[in-house]
Amino acid sequence: MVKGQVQMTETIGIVIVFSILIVFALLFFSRIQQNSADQQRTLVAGEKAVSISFSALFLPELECSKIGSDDIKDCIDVLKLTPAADVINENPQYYFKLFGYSTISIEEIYPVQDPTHTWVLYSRTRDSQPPTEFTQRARTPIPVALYNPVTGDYAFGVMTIDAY
Amino acid sequence: MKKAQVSVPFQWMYVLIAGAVILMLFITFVSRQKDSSEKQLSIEVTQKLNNIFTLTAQSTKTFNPQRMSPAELHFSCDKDDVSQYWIGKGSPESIETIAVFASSRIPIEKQLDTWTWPFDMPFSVMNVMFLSSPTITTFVVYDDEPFSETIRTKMQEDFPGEFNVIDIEIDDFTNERGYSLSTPLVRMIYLTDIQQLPPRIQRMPDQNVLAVRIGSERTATYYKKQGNQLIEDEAVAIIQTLDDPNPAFYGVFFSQNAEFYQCTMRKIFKRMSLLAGLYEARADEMKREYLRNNQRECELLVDPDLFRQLKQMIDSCDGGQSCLGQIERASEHISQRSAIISNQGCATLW
Repeated sequence: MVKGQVQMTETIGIVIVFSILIVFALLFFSRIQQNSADQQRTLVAGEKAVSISFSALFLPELECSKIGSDDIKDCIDVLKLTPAADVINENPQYYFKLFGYSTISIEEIYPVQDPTHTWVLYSRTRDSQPPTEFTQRARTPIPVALYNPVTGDYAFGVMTIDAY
Repeated sequence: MKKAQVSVPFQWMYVLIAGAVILMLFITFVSRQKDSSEKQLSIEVTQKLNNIFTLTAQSTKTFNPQRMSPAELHFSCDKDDVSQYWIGKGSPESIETIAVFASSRIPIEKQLDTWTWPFDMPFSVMNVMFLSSPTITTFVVYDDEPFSETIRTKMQEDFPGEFNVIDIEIDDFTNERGYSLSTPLVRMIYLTDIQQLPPRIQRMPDQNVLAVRIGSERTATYYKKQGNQLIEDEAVAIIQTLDDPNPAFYGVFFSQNAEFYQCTMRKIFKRMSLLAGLYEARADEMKREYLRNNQRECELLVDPDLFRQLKQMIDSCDGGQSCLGQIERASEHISQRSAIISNQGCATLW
């Protein structure tokens, strides 16, 4: 082989190795970027779920009366549940800005535990399909007191917020 | 030309091209990294603000100084009720369900001040949020008239001391006695007639000066700075809540102008209308429950029409003094009826 050909082969070899190294570096860098973006997305989704939970828990549409006391917390007025669900259904755009893609439901646990004592207040998924057990979600269950102001009865329930 | 003479320039060209490629790669890499970290910072700050707005809006009657990175916070709230905020040149985020009284621009050095107060009329509607920053100096300009004295006394009782507020007599303010001014933004709340602007404020850019004159607890007029003077802009009517302090009154102090104020008030009224509809349905439900339990007296006292009328008034109100007065009276009526019902041992109306 002539000396010039050897030099040319060396040069091509160096260019190939150099290109491979650059491709590896780019792949490595993009993987790191991807990972940090995924982590950020998970963090944001978690924070979003917490903020939806807060919005739902302190919703005036559900809260027990505060007359005479500022300390009634985690209490839901059962007489408001059906009207609240109606108002939310009639104004989907407004409440979407509050709850985004989530499902908010309230279930009575004690003394009665049956399907008639479960209220789905709001539900909106990303694909507009009803959520299945495979739908990815961040679930926040919150124990609440269910108060009937007419009878004065209290029940124990759970408010479940699924953020999609 | 000899072979060696050809190969030397070729080697140099090769080195040059390879160097340029490597340099290009580095430049692209650095600029992409810079863009992405700026975007990430903007997302992080926006996310933090979203959390602040959502969580602070739930905690009533609190002043919270929020530590933040330096940024410029922008707000918009217009005639079409599109309400947004954004940071620097970042993308806007909607805040259409949160009532925020703020100026259109809040420069943040390290702290954003948030103050929340509930808006009850008579039922709990929402928590109203007031935003400011130590980079905004608020002058409360007064004279020796009884009206000035009344408002100042109220403010001293209600206003968190941490806000950057200077209470100053009109002559001292005009003659620049007893205060220094180093913030980029100035807000002036006149509890008296407006006189000449102090020289230092005259020299400030027009968009950095906000002014409002409080005519009474029910009216206020916004002014715009044009050169050395203030020009009357637009007046607003203020609704009176049943309890003190009235967040609708203090909202005037923090808003950029009449449009911002009215836009935020419309957000409150929108929620109030939804809640009035809900309480109407709840009152119907209460009547049925009392009938089932054979509590005729309670059943007769509960009147869903009170909420229906209130809802109609809110929906048809244009923000004028007369319809705000009607809403106040309807709310007062509901409040009194609820107290009567409560005294009879029945459940309250909300």
